[in-house]
Amino acid sequence: MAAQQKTFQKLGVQVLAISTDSVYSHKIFAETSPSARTINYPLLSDRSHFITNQYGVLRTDLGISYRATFIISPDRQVKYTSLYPPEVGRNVAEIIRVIQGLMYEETTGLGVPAYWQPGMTGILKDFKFIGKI
Amino acid sequence: MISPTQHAPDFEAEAYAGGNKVTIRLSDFQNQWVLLFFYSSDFTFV
Repeated sequence: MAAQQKTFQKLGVQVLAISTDSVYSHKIFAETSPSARTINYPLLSDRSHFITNQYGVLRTDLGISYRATFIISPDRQVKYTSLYPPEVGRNVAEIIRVIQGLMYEETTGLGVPAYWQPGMTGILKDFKFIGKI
Repeated sequence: MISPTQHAPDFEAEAYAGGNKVTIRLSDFQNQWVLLFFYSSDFTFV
């Protein structure tokens, strides 16, 4: 996520990271971890687990969250969610593609197929094309 | 778990940002796309 901060800035996406750690832990993490030192987005602290529970991604046995991702539109609608296994890190490129796809659909009204990448044309969603693609 | 098409619940949290301790609300980012990602613990991979 940290490596793609410029991309998120260019797209006008506000990144918010959140864990059940304290802000004190966040501070030392941000100051000392080589991967975290470059982070310029806020690290939110959910020590009470309230927010993590509210979003339904709390591992109650451990008091930590799942590796969950939410893309939220400007009108506060959840557009995308994912839960990764603890063993595997997130594919940030795909998260960016989804955001770009959502923005593309918003401006053009066109569908965004699986192979779509920025710069490509989307597909018409008209009912008459059903079964023809 | 909150699902796509659902309203994203507003929240308020203490945060570490740019060397400071601040308060952040989801509603601070009106009219903006937000990527909210949960991670298990500091000092682990994201």
